[in-house]
Amino acid sequence: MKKRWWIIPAAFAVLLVAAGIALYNWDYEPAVANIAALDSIPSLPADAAAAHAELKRAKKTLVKLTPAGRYIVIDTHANYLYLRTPDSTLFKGTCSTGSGGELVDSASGRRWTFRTPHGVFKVDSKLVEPWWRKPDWAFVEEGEKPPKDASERLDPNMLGEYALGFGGGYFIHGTLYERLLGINVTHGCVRLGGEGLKWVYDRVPVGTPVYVF
Amino acid sequence: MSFKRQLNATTGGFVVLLLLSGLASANDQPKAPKPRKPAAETPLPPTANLDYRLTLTELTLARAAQPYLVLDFRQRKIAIKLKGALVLEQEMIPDSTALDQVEPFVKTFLADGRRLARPVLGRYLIAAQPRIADSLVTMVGKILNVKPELLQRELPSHFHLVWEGGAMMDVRTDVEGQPDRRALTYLIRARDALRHLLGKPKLVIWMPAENALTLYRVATPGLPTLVVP
Repeated sequence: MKKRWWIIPAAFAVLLVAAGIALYNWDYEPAVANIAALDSIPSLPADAAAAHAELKRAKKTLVKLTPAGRYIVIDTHANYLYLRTPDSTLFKGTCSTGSGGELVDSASGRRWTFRTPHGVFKVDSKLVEPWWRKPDWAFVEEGEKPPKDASERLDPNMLGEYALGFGGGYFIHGTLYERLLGINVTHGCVRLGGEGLKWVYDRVPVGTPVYVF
Repeated sequence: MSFKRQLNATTGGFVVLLLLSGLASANDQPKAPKPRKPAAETPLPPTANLDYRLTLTELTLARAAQPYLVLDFRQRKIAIKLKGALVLEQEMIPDSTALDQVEPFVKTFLADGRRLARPVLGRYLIAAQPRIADSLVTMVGKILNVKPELLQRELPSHFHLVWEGGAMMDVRTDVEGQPDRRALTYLIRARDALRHLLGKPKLVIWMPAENALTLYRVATPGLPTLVVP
């Protein structure tokens, strides 16, 4: 029998090329976005006057979307709160945002997820010496039954000296546990250290946009 | 003459004088030319069409609820925006060994000329360091009844982002990290080296670890990215 010595190296080479092609095309996280709509973005009109007007209109529309003055930014990923303008950062402080944890009330089956909501909001209230009205989950978490008497829900110490509401029962407020700032430990509110909170509170009127991402 | 009448006469005199002087100056000065319509006269800048398409693309991205990334090579900045508002900005600092990759990166990104934005296809953590002491995270996790991995944010020291079309960005920080998953990391490095060898550009940039943490966590597959060439 004639020895076909070249078969093994050839097979090895084929395998190597196949592995290379597979590796080249490999992605372990699939794409999820569909931004194919952006393929149909038009060009400027050929007429110079119309092009000028169109360019101006488009830029104006974009500027209108962006905040003109001060706005708050909450980075839930790195746990930072910023007060900024479109051009500069006025304040940067370590905060704490929602843990993402879940709580299930075994008695009623109710379920809560403790996330800080993402999106664009507005400061809708400013409170000095705020009292916390404990929601049901605060009692369920402690293994207690939520009380029927509303006065039993009030806690004068938990929220620090100031609170800025930004809708849906969510607040930027102070904390007794400043050591935990920087960690995602909250039930959805945003905790900020006392000094920073006062600084922001004094410079932010009701209506200030709040961007949470 | 009463004081009241004297006052009226003086005021009337002033008004007449003012009117006369106004008329005189109006007659003396040549009429100012009517402002020209800039659209008809000023030529469009060479980048006008690109600027227009960039603006329309950003408008589309800014109307969505999802944040988007802007790689601005004109101003050398990386920005994360939400609804048109700047939420994080970072100077783009390319590694000195990869400066020649800027142009191919942009070219690959804008390859077909139709689209100025593309989604992130993949992000690959090469090495990271725990941001908070594990003992603290474990303790807090127990108190709050939350899984410690939800509380821990790995501070990335090195990660890769890959976009539709094959453009790659290698993000590095000055934090010293441990390989995330050793075998997987070797595979990713081998793959990216192979892609780079076969012509896919790899832009290496440096940034502070805290901003890299935010970028890494925001850049989930699908994150729209706009490139300003």
